[in-house]
Amino acid sequence: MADALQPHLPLLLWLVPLLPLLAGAITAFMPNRMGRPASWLALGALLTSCVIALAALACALAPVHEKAFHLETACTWFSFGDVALKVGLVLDPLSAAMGAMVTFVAFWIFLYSTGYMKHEARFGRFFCFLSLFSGAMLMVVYSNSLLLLFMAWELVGLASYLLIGYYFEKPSAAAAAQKAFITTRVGDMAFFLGMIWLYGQTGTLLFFDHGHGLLETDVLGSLAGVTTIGGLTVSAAAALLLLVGAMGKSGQVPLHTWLPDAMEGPTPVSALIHAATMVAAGVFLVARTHPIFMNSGPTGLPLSATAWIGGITALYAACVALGQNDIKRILAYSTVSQLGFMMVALGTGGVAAAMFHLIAHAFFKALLFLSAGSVIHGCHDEQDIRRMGGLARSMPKTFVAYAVGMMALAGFPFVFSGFWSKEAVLHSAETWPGGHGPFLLAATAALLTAFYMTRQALLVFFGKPRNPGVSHPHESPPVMLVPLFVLAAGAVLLALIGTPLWPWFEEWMKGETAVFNGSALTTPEALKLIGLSLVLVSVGVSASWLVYRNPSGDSRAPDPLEVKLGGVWSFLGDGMRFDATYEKFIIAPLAVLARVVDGIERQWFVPLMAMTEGLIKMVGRWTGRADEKGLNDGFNQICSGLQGSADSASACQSGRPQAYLRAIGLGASVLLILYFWLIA
Amino acid sequence: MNPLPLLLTLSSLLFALGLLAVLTRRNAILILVGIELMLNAANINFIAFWRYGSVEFDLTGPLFVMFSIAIAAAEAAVGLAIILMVFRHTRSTDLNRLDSLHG
Amino acid sequence: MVPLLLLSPLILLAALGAVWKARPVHAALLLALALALVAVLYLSVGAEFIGLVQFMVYVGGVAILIVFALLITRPGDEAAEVARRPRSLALGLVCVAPVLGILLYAVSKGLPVAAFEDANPKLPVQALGTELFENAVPAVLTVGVLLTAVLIGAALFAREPGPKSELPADR
Repeated sequence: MADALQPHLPLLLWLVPLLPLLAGAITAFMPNRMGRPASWLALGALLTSCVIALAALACALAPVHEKAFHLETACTWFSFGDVALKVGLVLDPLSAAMGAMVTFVAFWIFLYSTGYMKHEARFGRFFCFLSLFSGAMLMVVYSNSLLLLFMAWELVGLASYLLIGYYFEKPSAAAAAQKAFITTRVGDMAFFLGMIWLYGQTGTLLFFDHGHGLLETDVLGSLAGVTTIGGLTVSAAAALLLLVGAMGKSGQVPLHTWLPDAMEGPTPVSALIHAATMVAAGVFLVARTHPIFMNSGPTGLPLSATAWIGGITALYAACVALGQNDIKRILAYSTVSQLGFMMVALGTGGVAAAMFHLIAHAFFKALLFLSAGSVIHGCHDEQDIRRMGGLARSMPKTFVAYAVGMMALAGFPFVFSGFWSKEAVLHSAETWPGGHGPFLLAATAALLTAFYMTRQALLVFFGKPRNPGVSHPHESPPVMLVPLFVLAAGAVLLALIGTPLWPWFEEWMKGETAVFNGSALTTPEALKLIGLSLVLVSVGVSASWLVYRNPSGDSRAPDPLEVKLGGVWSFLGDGMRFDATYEKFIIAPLAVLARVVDGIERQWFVPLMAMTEGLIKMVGRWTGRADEKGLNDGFNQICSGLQGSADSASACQSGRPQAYLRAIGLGASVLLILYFWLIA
Repeated sequence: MNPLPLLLTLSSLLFALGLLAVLTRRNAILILVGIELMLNAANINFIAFWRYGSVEFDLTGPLFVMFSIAIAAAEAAVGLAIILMVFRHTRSTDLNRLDSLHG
Repeated sequence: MVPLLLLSPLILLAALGAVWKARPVHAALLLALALALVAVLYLSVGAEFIGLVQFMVYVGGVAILIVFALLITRPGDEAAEVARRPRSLALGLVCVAPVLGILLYAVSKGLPVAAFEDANPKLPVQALGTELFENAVPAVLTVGVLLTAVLIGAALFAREPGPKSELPADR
């Protein structure tokens, strides 16, 4: 099949992002009462995209000429003068794997949404936004041009804004949407500057262009030769700018504050956009432009910055997740933390590890969010884990799915993809020549991850029900459960392709063929790392179990950790006061500035404007009078003169035929007389 | 003496009488009478030039008269029909009353 | 020449009567007389065929049509006509006099062509027929169409309107 498809791939590939975009455009024009057909259209378009993306993945599986599969297209979008802006798509292991993951996960989340959002009034609108998002996200994935990627990136941000603000009646949702949009805009600004800088230096924005693209040796070599302020090479500076863009999108410290608030959106949105795909776009951007980062060497500033920011984010978010009580906010901080893991892997040179963790994370985090949605659905929109408890009995199927996701995220050994992907990340960090800082940060974060996930599982599914308001939690319908099981299966099965025994994914990304190596697990390094992972997980889980095994039956009782940690716990609960700090040091000065500007306007501009207004009014009155006296009267006189002459002319028109005839006769006679006079 | 000037004078006078009728009669039907007189004046001219004109074996004059008569008959029929219509509307054939086009 | 000299004043007198007579029916009958006299004129100059056509169409058709039309419509206000006559006649003459002057001037100036006593003494009817139906066929056909249209149109115009198509009341 792959061979038959290959010649059509350049065109088919365009269909992958365009079909959902088209579905989004069509559903945008469908009235609200046609929500069902709109959802079918969106599902159908995405399913087609998914099939094509999987076929493209199948094509990309085989290496070509001892190198990884690579297919690029480029066409001129528009040109001005000699300058032509080109856009195109690229299919290589990176985009093929990412695209297949996005379409696959998105399809199941779409399906889940048809059940979860069933009773929403703006059901069709929801699918319109989702389709827009999927199309834009796929464009990000397959784009062969930084410009096209940036445009799709912004579209993704727009879709995210629309979906976070889906319940715009809720002021908190509207505020969260704005916060997400504005915060990511800070990163996008840097991205944009980096893009322009790269274009100014190289004259191209294509990633691959038969040896002349941004990511190919020609251009990279020329970029490395140019230095700018502080002795930084242009490629390093541009890479740092791109990194800031990725930080904004992927919620890295300090641009992470929007991501927990984004949980105001519907839960499928949280699963799709704010866990599985969009937030991974930042990671994907760094992975895609990794050659530019690599240009400064594996321990150069761009990659070090990436690794350190990733490590700090991973640990920070894991700490904050300890102090959260909202089931979705815990998952949101966990997402931030896992994105930090991916950044660590990227920064330490493990692109394949990062992508493997990204894809595995997409599966199990989407699974966790959907399970959380199922829980919320079953508990009648309750999100506080202190008011849940004992749900394993009333929602067994959801519990099973959740348990799989939770164990994958916590890194339970051997059968879960999360264990191996985290393993790969730690391996990459450990072997980094730039130091052990990121590795230690990531390892601590992994410990805390096991701790807070166990806490969440214990509080939600075990113990006695603590919910006085809702007496009968119920299991969710099949349309919501089937996607859970599919994603759970993915979260487990993905482990098969990423173990050190058979590191297929990593080798495939490099374009090499994987071989089964039974002794890979028994080398001293591997044993050391696996032992460390096992220790981290078991310590985290057992510590958590010790603390939370006997939760209080009262939902208002303080958290056991809160009792021990006191003020630190509430500090964590507030996300280490990032929002308050921003409020104090950025928003408050801006507000003061705004007030000053407002004062200037009131004190100076308003009187000035009033004076100008008075002046203009006076001039207007003068000209008005001149108009009245001079022009209008003149016109009136001309008009009445015209009217008088018209009256006399119309008096000639008696309406009597014979009067006209007489006139004709006289006129003819006069003409004839003249004729004879002149001729004869 | 050639009778051509005599006939031409006759037709001129007849034409003038017809024109006078058209200009002075107030009854629309009698306007038609004037028009018929003028047409006949023209016909007399045609016949006169044929009969006493310069070209031998020429039939243009009578031919024209034939068509002229046919068209005059048609004109009279249509004219009278229109006048009847007007009469039905206004109960009058007085042209001086039909001045709704006056300015 | 002699018949012409006799006929011309008669024609003019009849025409004058048609113009002058206050009663429309009298005027119409005098018109018929004038037209009949013109037909006699045609006969006397040798255009017998034209004369007969003139007699049949004008006297038998048009003049009678006019008489009937007068009978159908309400008789005009003769007294008003007579009372207004001096003014309207003066106006009419003012217009007619120049026209007549020009025509007579043109006649007295002489002819642009040489005149013959007997250019065409007799109208050859057969030649006229040949001419009509060979060279002038398009014109004949056109006139035929015209007459047909007139027949239908005049019938439509003159038809008494049915109760449904009653036109709005007079102003």
